Amino acid sequence: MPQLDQITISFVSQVVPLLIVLALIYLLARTMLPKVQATMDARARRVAGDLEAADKAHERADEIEEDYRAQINEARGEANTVTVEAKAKAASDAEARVAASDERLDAELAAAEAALAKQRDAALAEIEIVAVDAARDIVSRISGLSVAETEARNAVKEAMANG
Amino acid sequence: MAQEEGGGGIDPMHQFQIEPMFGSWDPAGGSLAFTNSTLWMVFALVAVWLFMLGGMRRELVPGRWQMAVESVTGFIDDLLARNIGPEGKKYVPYIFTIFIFILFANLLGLAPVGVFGMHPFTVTSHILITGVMAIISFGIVLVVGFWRHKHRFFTLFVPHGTPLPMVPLLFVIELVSFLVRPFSLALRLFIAMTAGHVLLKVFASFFIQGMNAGPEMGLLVSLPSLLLMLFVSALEILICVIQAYVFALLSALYINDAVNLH
Repeated sequence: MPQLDQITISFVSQVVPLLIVLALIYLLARTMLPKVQATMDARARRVAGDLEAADKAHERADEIEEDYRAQINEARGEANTVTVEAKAKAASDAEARVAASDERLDAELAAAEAALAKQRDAALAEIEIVAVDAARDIVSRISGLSVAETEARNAVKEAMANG
Repeated sequence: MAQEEGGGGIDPMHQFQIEPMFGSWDPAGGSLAFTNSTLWMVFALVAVWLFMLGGMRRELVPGRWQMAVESVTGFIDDLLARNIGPEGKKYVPYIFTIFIFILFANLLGLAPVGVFGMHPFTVTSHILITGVMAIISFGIVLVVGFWRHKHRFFTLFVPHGTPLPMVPLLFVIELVSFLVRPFSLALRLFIAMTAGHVLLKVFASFFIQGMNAGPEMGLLVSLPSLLLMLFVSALEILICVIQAYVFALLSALYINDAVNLH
């Protein structure tokens, strides 16, 4: 077994290079490991920081959303009141206008009725006169008697009152 | 092994032979030569360095390479944080060094450079290498333990709630198990690497001898050997990682004893 047979002959040739190589690797490790570790730590910190920032942004987004909601609700409420008010105003306006129109129409109706009544009275009076004349005429033609105008009028009035 | 040598001239242990590439052995020992072992240590060093350079990009969104470096360093960091606690941070460079060197040396030993006529050499398959690393780990345990706790470090060998008459016996048992640690640490890695590579070479020699013995033998011996080699190679890659992890984990656990006593 060369590992045992060569121990004495190769002792220095194995141990010295081994110690040198180990020392060099140890130096490499001493200089490079902290840097590698620092990179890893920096990354971990960065990730943690980013996560925190993301959390904060999330919170802020929630806040903004809440604000937005509140504002929307407020606006909606305002709009509602405005609509209700507008509706009420429109209704009262319409009512007033309808009332005014009604009044006007009533007045017109009353005037028209009055005019109609007047004309009817006038027409009736004329009919009466015509009827009196006609009655006198008819009486004189049939009986040859002349009827006094007042008598004839009374008779006509009586007849017209009876329908 | 001798049969193997006699059979096809393929010695499964030859892969562990250390040959000087520059300079030569002093037969009396003590010579410092640039050997194939040294070469593969340098390869491991360069590979580790190149690997670590990938982690130096320091980008916010890591690429695959940077991710790999970060996961290895994070893994070692986590290992020490879990087993030692906040004080384990100090030992991250050492445990990382041990882990990454063993891992790369193990994996490079499996590199299929034989295709280009080179012979891969597994640095960690030598008891001398694993032994030195185990002694370093054990030395750290002793130094840290005695420096932090002075003589109270010996209470490590007396578990809490031991009845007084049992104390001397338990002390001896615990002391022995404590002193065995560097040996088990060194032997585990050395044997795992050696056994795996011997197994691969044995199957490889079966394959070649089967092919040489004719088509029937080729079908009967070489094909199953090839399939087994595939399986064992995959297993070996797994073992490379596991052994590096075990060495680092046990070193961390032993250091934990020294830092926190019980």
